Amino acid sequence: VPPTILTPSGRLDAETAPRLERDVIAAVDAGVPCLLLDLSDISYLSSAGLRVVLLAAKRLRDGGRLAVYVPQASIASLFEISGLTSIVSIYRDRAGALAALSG
Amino acid sequence: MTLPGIEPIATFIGGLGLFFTGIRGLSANMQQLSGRRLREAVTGRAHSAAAIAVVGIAAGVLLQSSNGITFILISIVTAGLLQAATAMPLMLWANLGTSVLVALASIDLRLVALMLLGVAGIWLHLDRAGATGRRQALEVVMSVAMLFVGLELLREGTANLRVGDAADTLALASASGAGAFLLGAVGTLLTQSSSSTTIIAVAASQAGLLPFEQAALLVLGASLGSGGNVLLLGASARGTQKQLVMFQGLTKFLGVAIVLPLVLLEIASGWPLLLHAARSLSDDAGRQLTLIYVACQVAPLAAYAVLAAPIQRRLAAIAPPLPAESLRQPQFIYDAALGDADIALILAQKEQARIAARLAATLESPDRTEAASLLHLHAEIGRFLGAIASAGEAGTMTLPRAQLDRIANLQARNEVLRLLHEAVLQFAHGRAGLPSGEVASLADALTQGLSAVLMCLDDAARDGAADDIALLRQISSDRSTVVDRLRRELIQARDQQAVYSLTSLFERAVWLVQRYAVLLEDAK
Repeated sequence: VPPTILTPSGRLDAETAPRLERDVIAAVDAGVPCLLLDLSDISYLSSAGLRVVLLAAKRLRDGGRLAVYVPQASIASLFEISGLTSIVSIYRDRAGALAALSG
Repeated sequence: MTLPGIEPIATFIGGLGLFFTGIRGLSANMQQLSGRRLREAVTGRAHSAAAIAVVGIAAGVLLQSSNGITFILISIVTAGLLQAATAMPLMLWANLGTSVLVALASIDLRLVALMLLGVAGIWLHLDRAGATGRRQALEVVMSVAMLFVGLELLREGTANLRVGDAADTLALASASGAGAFLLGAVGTLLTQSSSSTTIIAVAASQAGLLPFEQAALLVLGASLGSGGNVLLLGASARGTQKQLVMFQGLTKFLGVAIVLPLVLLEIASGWPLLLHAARSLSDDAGRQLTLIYVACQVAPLAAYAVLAAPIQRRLAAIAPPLPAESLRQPQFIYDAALGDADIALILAQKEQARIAARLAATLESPDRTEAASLLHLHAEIGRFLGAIASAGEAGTMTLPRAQLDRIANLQARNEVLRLLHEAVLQFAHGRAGLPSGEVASLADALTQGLSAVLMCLDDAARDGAADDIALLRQISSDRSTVVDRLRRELIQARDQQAVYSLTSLFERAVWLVQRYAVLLEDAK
């Protein structure tokens, strides 16, 4: 089954995160087993955005798989600072993320 | 050798002492013994009107204290386990349940009581190292026995006092209807139990010391005093707690407001009303007074059946639920809850979760007033937990090992939360006013990262779900590697002090969250 890919763009903050949260919940509720969050078009990531990623990880914990594609060094660093790297698999290249989900 | 006339006085005073010791012991031991089961029954079974009536009456029979029932129900409502609208009829039915003791007190149980006192007392002496639950059950039996032996002595003393000075004093005090009514109200304010005052009135009436009309007015005064007691004890309650205190107090007044005019009208006109009904149902003065006591509990029940919605609306208007933003005021903990360690610890936990929920917002926009409020709340929780521990040390509350561990855990969590709040505030103040540039960017990244961790803390502290706690442990793992890297990346930055200060505070805050997660895990 090919992974479902969500691709938010622009700023992912308190104002825009709820939209991504709705998409994540809809995907999980639809029974999606593999989810790729492609954050390559993100220009800014706030704690609200990080929380949505955490929510996706929690929702997919039982039987699902999640990968996050973050090519931007500054945003990838945010995942490290927040400690989310210990919970979610972060990839700097898209192919690696897709391979991890299909593997 | 005894002084003439001293024996009935000594019998009376000794009986009174035994009676009060018994009733206090009964209520305190029953709260300890049945607190958890009562909570389970209230929260798990009180769903239909019939179930509310059964659970309420059972609670009243077991606890024999309107005050005790009121404050237990307030604790359960405050803990979010029961709606105030359900607690209100439960209170009324429980008040009715307290009539059982009054009814039993009108029967001569001297021999049964003496046997029980002997058996329970000897058993307790021999079973000094016995299980806490069994010893508490025996203490309940002994308290009941003491209460009835005291009551019999009281009756005996009262009968012999009939021709004495004390009898004249009591007769004088209650000679007028108003005097008897006042005596009942003041007596209940002093004894904090309308059933105690009523039982003493039953004894006095059975001994022929009090005419039935005056004794009935004394019972009504006792009901008024009981309402006053609840209002006095709950004077510091707020929001929904205040609603329930007012409800209990006002319904007691309502019972008197309904029954008293009937009694006064009957005395004045001689029309056969409530007193006549009581007399026609029983020849015994004690049972007749029991019926008056029951009428005082049934009248508010009948009124509530008709006026429930307007009563609830009015109380909500007088004492609206506390706004969430009034951080300074505890929303969950309150002193009257200290009587039940289990529920008190749940309340303290919920109060702590309120602080945890504010940390991410404090990080984003620190506010000095809010910081002072949170600090005050920390101190209040610390004082509350200290009071529970002190009650255990003083022996006024039995605290098993598991509860002592929970207290220690919550105290440690309180301190960790206080230190975390302090670190978050310092971080937020240190970040403010940084000129834009690489250090400000670092501060923003650290803020967003820490905020995500604090949001996770909020989830775990609020629900205490094992999954959330496990995630919190993971997300708050050691950050020394990433912090070292960030410092190295900014080694050339101008404001090195800000870099070190912010990264150190960040590391400290994350470490404190990790400590909190471990404590949450230990508490599971």
